[in-house]
Amino acid sequence: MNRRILLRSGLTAGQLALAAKAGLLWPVTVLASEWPADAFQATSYQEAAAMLFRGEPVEEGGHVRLEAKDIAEDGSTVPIRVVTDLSGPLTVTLFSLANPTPAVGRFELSGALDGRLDTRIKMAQSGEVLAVVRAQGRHYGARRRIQVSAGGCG
Amino acid sequence: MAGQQQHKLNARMTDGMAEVKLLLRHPMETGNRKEPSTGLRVPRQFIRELVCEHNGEPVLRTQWSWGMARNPYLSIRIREGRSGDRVRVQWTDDRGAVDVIEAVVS
Repeated sequence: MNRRILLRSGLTAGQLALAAKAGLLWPVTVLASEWPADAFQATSYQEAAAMLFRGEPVEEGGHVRLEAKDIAEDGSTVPIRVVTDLSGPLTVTLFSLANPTPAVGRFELSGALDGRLDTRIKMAQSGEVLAVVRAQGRHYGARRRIQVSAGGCG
Repeated sequence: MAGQQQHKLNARMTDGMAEVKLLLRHPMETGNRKEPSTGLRVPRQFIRELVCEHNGEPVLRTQWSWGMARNPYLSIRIREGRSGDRVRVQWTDDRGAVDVIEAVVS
């Protein structure tokens, strides 16, 4: 049973969790993650990462590139691009480390997509943006400092 | 969302792939902002989850916090996309409002 069949079957996340507990599914097939409330409310990157990555290390310095302008004029909408040479399925998690709650979003890309994602985030103030890509059970990250002229969380 | 601008979904063949661009109209309130005229805190309101389907198959699922930009933007590329394929995006905000937008790859 693969992910697509699962997703198409229309099971809710709760039903999937129940099925997983009952041993009906292999754990690796349960990919439609729950909305990570605790991680999004966490007030530090370390706390959020511990919940999202279960303490697994994030390797920086290869496989992931984070593209953005050095200066963001409006912190309420900062364009960023994540590029990776890793093959899917991928999970991309974005952080703005200087935000009151640093974890901003998680994106689960099926293998049908290429390794490029464009989006826009909020930055409360100047600081580092971090993208973490999970592929084949490992985490790869890239970070970039962005200077913000006007904050976006006020 | 009466009176606001429309959501936009655009899908077209670029470099042999179907490039999908999505712009949603949503305030994405953090809950920290105060209304300048009243000084009152604007309640948190944000898109929580979104699914993008290509010909009925989910290709992207997102879980967002209020830290995503106001009027969220997203662009992805579908490797095996073809002209005429269907793209459908459905999203839910934290108050349970569900909305959907569809497009055909050109």
